[in-house]
Parts: sequence; structure tokens; C-alpha cells
Amino acid sequence: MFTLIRLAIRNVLRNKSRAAFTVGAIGFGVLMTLLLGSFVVGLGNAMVDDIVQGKVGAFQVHRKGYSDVRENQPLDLDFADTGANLSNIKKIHGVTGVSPRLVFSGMAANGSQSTMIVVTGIDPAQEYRVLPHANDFLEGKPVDNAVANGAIFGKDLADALGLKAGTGGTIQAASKSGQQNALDFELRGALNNGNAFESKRSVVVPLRWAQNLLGMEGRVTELAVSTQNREDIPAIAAQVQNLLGPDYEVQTWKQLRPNVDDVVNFQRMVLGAICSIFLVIAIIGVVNTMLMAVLERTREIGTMMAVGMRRHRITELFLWEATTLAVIGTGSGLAVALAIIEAVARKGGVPANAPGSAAVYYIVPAVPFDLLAPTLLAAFVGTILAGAYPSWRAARLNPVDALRAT
Amino acid sequence: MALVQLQNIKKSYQLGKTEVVALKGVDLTIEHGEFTVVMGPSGSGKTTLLNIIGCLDRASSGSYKLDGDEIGHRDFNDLAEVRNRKIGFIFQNFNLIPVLDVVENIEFPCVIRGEDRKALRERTLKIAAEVGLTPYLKQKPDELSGGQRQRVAIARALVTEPQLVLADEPTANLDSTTADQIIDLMLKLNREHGVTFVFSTHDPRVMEHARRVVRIHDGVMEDGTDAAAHEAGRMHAAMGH
Ligand SMILES: Nc1ncnc2c1ncn2[C@@H]1O[C@H](COP(=O)(O)OP(=O)(O)OP(=O)(O)O)[C@@H](O)[C@H]1O
Ligand SMILES: [Mg+2]
Repeated sequence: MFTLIRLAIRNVLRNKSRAAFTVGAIGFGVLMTLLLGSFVVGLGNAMVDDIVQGKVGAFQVHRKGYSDVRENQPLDLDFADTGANLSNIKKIHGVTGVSPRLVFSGMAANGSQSTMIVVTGIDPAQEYRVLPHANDFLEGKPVDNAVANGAIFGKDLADALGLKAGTGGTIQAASKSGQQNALDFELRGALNNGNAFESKRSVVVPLRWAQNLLGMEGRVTELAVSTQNREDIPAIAAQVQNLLGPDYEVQTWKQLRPNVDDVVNFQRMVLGAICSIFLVIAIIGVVNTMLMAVLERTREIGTMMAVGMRRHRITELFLWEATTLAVIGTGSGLAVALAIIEAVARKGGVPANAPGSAAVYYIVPAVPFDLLAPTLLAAFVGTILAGAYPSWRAARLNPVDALRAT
Repeated sequence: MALVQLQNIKKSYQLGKTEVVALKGVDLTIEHGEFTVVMGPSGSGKTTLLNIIGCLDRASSGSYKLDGDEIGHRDFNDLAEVRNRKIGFIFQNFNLIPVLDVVENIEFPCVIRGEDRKALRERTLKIAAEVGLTPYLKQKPDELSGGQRQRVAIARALVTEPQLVLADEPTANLDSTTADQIIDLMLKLNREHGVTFVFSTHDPRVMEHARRVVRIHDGVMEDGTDAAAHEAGRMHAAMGH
């Protein structure tokens, strides 16, 4: 077998330009698959980071039943913003922050016109620890307890009401009992985070101010929680659910924003389709190369048969040649891909827009580990399968005819 | 027992719809140790005959016994084994394996049958010396002259210690001086090793060297057997075995 492998390697290297072309085709397929894969992973990471670190947190806690009616921002499913719940969640290993929120709907008015809004009251010290990227796309200043009535509006909303930083208006909302109340606010900044709904409707205010407006001192409707690692989220969420019992519901970012996963999976599907095309091209290259080799070396095959080589050994020889092409091709594709991914990642990635979003993300390509094995395997097995037919053809040759070939 | 026994061997090829009859009933007996020249013009059936004797091809009809064994109904791998064990081939266009050097080319038939490397290498070097290749052992075929390449082929044919060496027009691609050297070398190996040679050619000059000449024309063996030479072959074989 060792002899066959050595012979196969030499035969592959015999026609260097053709070997280079074939290895290039395989390598290119592997390279493109891994590069595209690395950007899909990078894009997915960016989208998930935006959700987890900029919008919803790793998971959220509400009173039982909240998710069924969350569109109405109900106030009667509330709970205390201090006490055992909060401090116990904070103590769980891997939890890095807990931000209490009071979410409600109301009207924002600038004196001449008013519009429907969804308001989130936050404690900036907690909120910005849980969501370090919350204000990445903020024009102006974040919410600050030092300015008790300082609010952030969605960009479109601020524009629609003609509000600029420093100007203000009133926010009106109904308390739990249905009593309308209004308070003056001052605009601190406008947030354009790429989400159309949030840009048109959302307002962020200090928690105390919101509680004051609604007459709900010490009460909240939502906890946003952040974790050390993204992988631990489901486990920690389950732990928190356990801790709080059946009166509460815990939902991870995946459950809160299911479309993000859909987008990521769709990207993977497109990637898979593109990569299959590369693989097919590489396989055609291999079949072509190997058929040429069989054709050119017909007399040599006849000679090997004449001196007593069995048919299956001839097949093996050509399969080893395909294997050689596969090893060099996948190896070089892998090496180049890793080098490029590493280099781009070190430069900080490339700027891009996530689908359906105006926000600019930096996509940092990451080695697509879950793609690595399937890609290399597909390229490898594909190459060898591509070599199978030519190898079989070679072994089926009649020695006399093969020896007569020119 | 004769080494090669052909009885009424016929061979036809199907070329599209027409049938080409290459051998029209050939009888031939070759004894151990003989050096037989098959002489015939182009297209007369020399290659066809040697291919059948060499178990590369099967006759359409007739009986072929090699060393007493009927060859007619063996399958491919069986025949490959027979060729590897009992027969050496020397071709007109050398047919060396281009990616192997001289030593590797010579050893190839033994390597594919899994022979012990050390003993093989010793034997290879000895044969290489005998055919005058010692200075070229690490050379690749394309770095050798035609005569040198044919010496490699001869060494490759002999290294398996076959009973029979078939040389199909081995001198046709060589200049006459080199051709003479190659013929002399084969005669010498025949004498010294007692290996049976069958040598085909259309070059009448080769007759000067031959002890036994059989003539083939249009697929028919003319009985040009030189009885005395045949007898000499028998004697030689008798002494050698
Ligand atoms: N595989 C084949 N298919 C069809 N016809 C063949 C085949 N092999 C040989 N022939 C025909 O059989 C006849 C004998 O051919 P063969 O090659 O045995 O002659 P040869 O004496 O070796 O000739 P040359 O001196 O040209 O080598 C020729 O007419 C040839 O065309
Ligand atoms: Mg011929």
C-alpha cells in the first residue's frame, strides 16, 4: 500500500499545472465555504449581540401570563423592584446584571400634536450594565438619574414630534386603575437602532419618573438579565425559573425574538446552497483531471497489468491519486481560509448592515467550527467519489487494448 | 514437457461489423531454454501471438498449455498472477513507468507481489549490473537513451525469475548498433540463465543471431522451423534442467 501511495503522489505531481488547477478547484471550494461561513457566523454573532447586549438582554422575567398580553403593556402583572427576587437572581453564578423595568403605553405630546408611544422606565445604572450596547446608535445623551425627567425617544418619533435635545413636552398615561396622568419630560437623545417599530414608538425614561407617573412606586413589570456567556443562557434561565416558581415566566432572547434565529438559519441555508455549487465545480474538476490521467496513461496501465498488477490495485492507485488531490486541496483551502479569517478578525471585521436594519454592524468573521468538519468531509469524500469512476474505468481496461494505445 | 504448447490457435478481432482474423490456426511448441525468433511482416500477427502466449489475451479457439496448464479459461486475476510469476515482457516502446527510477522500475513486478525488499534489492542490483545499468540506478526513464531504457525493461522482465520472456519487436525503436547490443544481451541472458525467450521481429538481420526461427505470415505459421536449432534448444533445456 505504501508503494501505491508513493506512486500515486508522484503521478499527481507529474502534470504540475493540471494538479495545481484541480487542487485549486477543491481548495477554492473549501476556502469559499469557510470564508462565507465565517461571515455568516460573524453576522449571526453581530445580530445576536445586538439583541442580547443592546435590546432585550440574555433573558427576561415577567409575571406569569405577561407574554400573552405583552402587546398591551399591562400594568397589573407587576412585582416589587427590590427584595429577594432581585438579589437572588444576581447571586446566580454567571449572571452579570439584572435591570428592573416598567413598561407601559401612553401618549407623547409636544403641545400641538400627540402620538401613541411605548415607554420603558429604566434604572440607567442597572440597564446599561445589562445592555452595554443599548446606546450604540444614540444621538445625544443616555438616560441619567441626575436628570429626573430626561427621556430618550426613537429617532422617527422625535422627528415626527419635532423634538430636539433640550426641548420637551408631556407624556400621558393611564394608571392601573385607569386614571390619566401626565408629566413633563425633556428630550436627552434620539435612538436610531435600526428597528422601525422602536424608532417610531419607543421612549426610554428613568424608572423613578415612570413609577411616579403611574403611581407605582417600587413596582416594575419586567427584569432584563445579562449573563457572562451566551452558551449558559438556557441553563441560567431555567435556574431562575426554578428560583422564582410558577408565578413568574422566564424567556430567553431566542423566545423573545424568534425571527433572529430564523434569519440566521436562512443565511445558513443560502450558504449551504452556494457551497454545494462550489463542491460540484470541484468534483467536475477532479473527474476531468482523473479521466485525462486515465486516458493519457492508458499504455502505462496496460504495462502495469502486463507485469501482473490486479484490477483492484489499479483502482486503488487511482483512488490514492484522488486522495492526494483531496488532501492537498482541502488542506490548502483550509489553511488559506484560516489565515484570511484571522487577518480580517484582527483588523476588527468589516462593516455591514444586518438584513432589515439601517444600523451598521461590524461583522467579525469567526472560524465556523460547526462547518469545519462537514466542509472538509464533503470536499474530501466528494473528491474521492469523483475519482471513483475514472479509477473504475482504468481498471476495466483490457490489457491488450491498453498496450496498443499510443 | 514443453513450456509452451499451442494447438490450432485462432484469434479474430471484431472491428465494427467486419471480423479481422489475426491468427488462422497456429501450432507451436517451445521448449524450456529455447531462444525463438518469430519473424513476420507488419500485420502478420506477431503481437497477437505473443499476447496469447503471454496470457495478456485469450485465443478465440484452440488450446494453449503453459508449462502443462491449460490457460484458456482462467479469469483476469488468475492470468495476472500467471504473468507476474512466469512471464516477463519486453516491449517495442519500452513501456517503463515514467515516475519510477531505474531501480524502482526493475523492482515493480516484484513489489506488487509483495516481495521482501532486502532480498529483492540484492537481486535487482545484480541484474542491473548484468545488463549494464549500474551507473544509472537513480535515473528516471526520460533521462535514459533508448538502449538504456530497453535494458531496464530487460532487467524488469528477468527480476521475477520467469520461465518465459516475451520480447515483441524490442529492437524496432533502436538504431542498428544498439539493436545488436540488445540482441546480444538477450542471447547471453538466455545462455547464462536458461530463461526461455520468444522474440518477434520483422527485421531479417536478426536471423543471423537466432538459433530457431519461426515465420508467420497473414496469421499462418509457415513451417520454417530450423530443426537443428530446435534440437539444440532441446539439448540446452535438457542440460539446464
Ligand atoms: N485489438 C485489435 N482489434 C482489431 N484488429 C486487431 C487488433 N489487434 C490486431 N489486430 C489486427 O490483427 C492483425 C495482426 O495484428 P498484429 O498486431 O498481431 O500484427 P503484428 O505482426 O504484430 O504487426 P506489427 O509488425 O505492425 O506490429 C492486423 O491486421 C491487425 O490490424
Ligand atoms: Mg506487433
